[in-house]
Amino acid sequence: MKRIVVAMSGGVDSSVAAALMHSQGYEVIGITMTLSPTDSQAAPAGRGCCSVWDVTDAEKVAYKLGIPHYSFNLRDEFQRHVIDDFVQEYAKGRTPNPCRRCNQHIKFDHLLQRAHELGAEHVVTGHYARVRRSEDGLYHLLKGRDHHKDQSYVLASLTQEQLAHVLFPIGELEKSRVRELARELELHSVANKPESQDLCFIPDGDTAGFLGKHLPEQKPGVIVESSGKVVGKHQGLGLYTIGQRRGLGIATGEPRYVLELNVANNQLIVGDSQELEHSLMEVEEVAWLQPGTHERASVKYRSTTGEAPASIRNGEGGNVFVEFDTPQRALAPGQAAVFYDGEEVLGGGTIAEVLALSAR
Amino acid sequence: MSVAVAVTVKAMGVTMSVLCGGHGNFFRGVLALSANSKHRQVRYVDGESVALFDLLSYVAHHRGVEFQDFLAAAAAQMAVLVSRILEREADEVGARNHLLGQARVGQRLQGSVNGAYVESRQAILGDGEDFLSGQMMVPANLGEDLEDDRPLCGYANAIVAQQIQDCLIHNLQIIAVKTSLRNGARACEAEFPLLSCQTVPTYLDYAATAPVRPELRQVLDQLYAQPLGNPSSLHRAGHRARMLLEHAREDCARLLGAEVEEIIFTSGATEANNLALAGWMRQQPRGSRLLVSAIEHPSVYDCAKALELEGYIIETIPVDTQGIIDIEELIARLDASCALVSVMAVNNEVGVCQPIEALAQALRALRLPNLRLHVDAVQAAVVVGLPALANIDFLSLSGHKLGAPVGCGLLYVRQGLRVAPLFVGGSQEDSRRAGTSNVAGAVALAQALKLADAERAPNQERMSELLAFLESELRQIPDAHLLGGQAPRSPHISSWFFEGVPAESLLVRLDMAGIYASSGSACSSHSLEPSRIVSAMGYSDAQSRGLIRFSLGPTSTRADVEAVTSALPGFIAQIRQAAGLLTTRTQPSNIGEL
Repeated sequence: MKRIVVAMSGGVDSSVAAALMHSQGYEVIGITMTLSPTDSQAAPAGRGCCSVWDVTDAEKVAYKLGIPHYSFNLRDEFQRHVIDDFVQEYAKGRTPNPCRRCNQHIKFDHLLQRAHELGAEHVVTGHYARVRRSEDGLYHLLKGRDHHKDQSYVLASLTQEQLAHVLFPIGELEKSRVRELARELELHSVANKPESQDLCFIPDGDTAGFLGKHLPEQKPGVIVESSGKVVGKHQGLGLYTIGQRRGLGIATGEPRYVLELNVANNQLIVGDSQELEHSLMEVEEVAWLQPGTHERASVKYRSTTGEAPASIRNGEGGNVFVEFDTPQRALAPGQAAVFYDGEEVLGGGTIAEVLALSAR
Repeated sequence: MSVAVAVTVKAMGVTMSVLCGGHGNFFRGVLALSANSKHRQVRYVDGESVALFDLLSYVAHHRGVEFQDFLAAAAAQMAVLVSRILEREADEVGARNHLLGQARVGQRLQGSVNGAYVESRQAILGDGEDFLSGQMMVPANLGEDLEDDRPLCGYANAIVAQQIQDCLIHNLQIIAVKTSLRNGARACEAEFPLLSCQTVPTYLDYAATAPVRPELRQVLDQLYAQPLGNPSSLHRAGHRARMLLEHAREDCARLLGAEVEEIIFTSGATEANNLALAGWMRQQPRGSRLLVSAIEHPSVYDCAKALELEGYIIETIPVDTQGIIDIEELIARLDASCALVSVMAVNNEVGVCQPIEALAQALRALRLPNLRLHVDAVQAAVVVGLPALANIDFLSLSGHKLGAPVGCGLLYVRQGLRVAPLFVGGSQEDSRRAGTSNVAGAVALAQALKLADAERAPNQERMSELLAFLESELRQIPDAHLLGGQAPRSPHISSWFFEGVPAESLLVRLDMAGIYASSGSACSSHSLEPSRIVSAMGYSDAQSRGLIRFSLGPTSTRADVEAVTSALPGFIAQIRQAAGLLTTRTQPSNIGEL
């Protein structure tokens, strides 16, 4: 029997993933990673991800399936690779994607190593994505069958080597089917569990509050329009996100959106909806999963909506320039840019800078 | 394919039969079992039965083993045994595969059996006159799978009744085997070392909690046979309960060398420790000092931290690399502002014994009128024994480390001292501990202390031997560190770290091999934190994350220790190898250029 490790979060997706692997005859070891800080004063009350109740839900599923379950403490690694990076990125005026970092550095690195230590070759997760191996030995990362739930965007930074050691059994399923399976398998602790929307280390969803506590002291400054006109005061650039409309504390007739965080001048630049749209961006830390020359791709630049056809050309130091066929809203440095050919992920990187078209 | 294993075991003065069946890879579990002895004849077929509980209590009386588990384990052994004989004698093509499949069925069954298999194996190996006989129903043509999903129920009774016929409907043959238990079990182990090593649970976590002793289960059974009143009630049931409680108190007092009024029954040692620290300190002026050793159990250490918020001054007494407190340093810090010193007798994570009696004498010699000494003696009670109470003011004990159920403990409070109660709402325990008295718990605690006391000398000798063997074997592993290796230690705890090996991975490996060991303290989500105790002994965070604790009990055997010594070196090598693999794996593998 082939031994595999399933990363069980205590949610419905990873629970069903574990059940599917078990029913296929694998020797399944369920692992729940504890990631968020233990300090009960620091962690908000309630049932965020990694709370003791999520661990209990995962244990109930494992017990029901008759598989062993263990908790692994990866808090230090999570703090170092994900939370610290999250705070630092905001401090730089960027918009990080911590789930992507977690996949890259925690689930498919540290957990994969733990799996190897347990004699398992593969880590299985409840991600909505698919992996295929072609005859030439290359692995291909595809969108999940359920496009509404597709999570390939946060997996695009995995390497070929990592893809060889991961399995996504629910990538072939619709979310509704996953819930149905959970009910059929009588996984009561998770079958009707609500979706977690928030970041696991900020379970109350108050990102501004979290950043307020963790960012280095924030320097207030002015809010200006692109014309240079001062329209208000900001509380520190780390507390704002590109595209943000609410909480700016300015009263102009037109709705105003955050266009840019100018860290050098400590200015928050705002403008109208149209000014939020850009066509050209530079992408750094680019890694291609598939070989070959990539000139055209459908580029996804945000975890929720936001995917559009674009042309790609080389920049310096491995960076690339992405020019969308039509202007896109709220391109944010720090977010991932993922290049697709239809269902398949060709590669990905991180948005470094959004450029005015004239920069060409 | 349909399979069934029927086994008859004569052991412990009782003959038992079990039939296990399954289809394909899906094991149905125990279909039927029966047993007879001089005293009773019971039968259990296909489902729940009151008789089963009768059986369970009967076997529990002898060995503390769940009956069903005993038989299931025996049946699994049987499956292996039969397959071995078949392989040799029948030499059928395909037989081996089928029967190995059946052995795996047995393995899976064993996997669901919790904890009891060790006991059953001991029973199997125990008495040369006992025998194991059995029949295995296998398809007449071993080369072909039967597409048969019907239950075997009709034949269960016949087999259990030993009226064995070939089953024509299911096209099954019955192969009968009879062998001595000793030979049968040995043959199984020799033939399938993996099966016997990997699936026999080996419980080496006594310092976490010990299995309830069969003697105590019997005592509790008798206790509950009549209505057990509330000891605060006026009527005769209340009177009986009161007497049970007070006799238990007398027993505990006698074993400690204390007076009855010096014993407060609690829910366990956590409560006892909290009662001693908070109950004493809260009667002292704010600003009074409380000194605790750096390696105390959280129920002392965290309680002290909580008292700090109430305005008391908390100081930590350091330990050396062997985990021994620095008495001179402690003495040097003491003055009239010190109200309490708390030092544990035997540490729960590394087993190191503190020089409690020397410490107690040294404190008394200082003649500081307000200064009191509290000793957490939970682990000391298990094997090494309790320190003399002569110069000790408070002492905590726990029942479940001694084979009593969880939920009973006591605090010894020297005569003339008062502790402020933690709870209000009742005058129980001389108004020092409100809440209905746990009579059964007190009785079990007293009995457990008695048993531990009576067995102390032989236990010390036997466990010291086992521990010496364990440690001499583990020392052979490269980069292995025994914690407190130079210090006096209780012979029931042996804690290690192995360079580069995270405890989590090793514990999982051990668990999957059926070996239950432990690590430092676990947080609420059961994941491991670096051990504060090991850090206090001067080890790094990474090292204290590697802490593995093996803790023995009175029923531990050489086979338990051998399970560890044979499995551990391989696991450690594999984990270290996997760690080596990672460094090559995480190299970025960007393929393709633009």
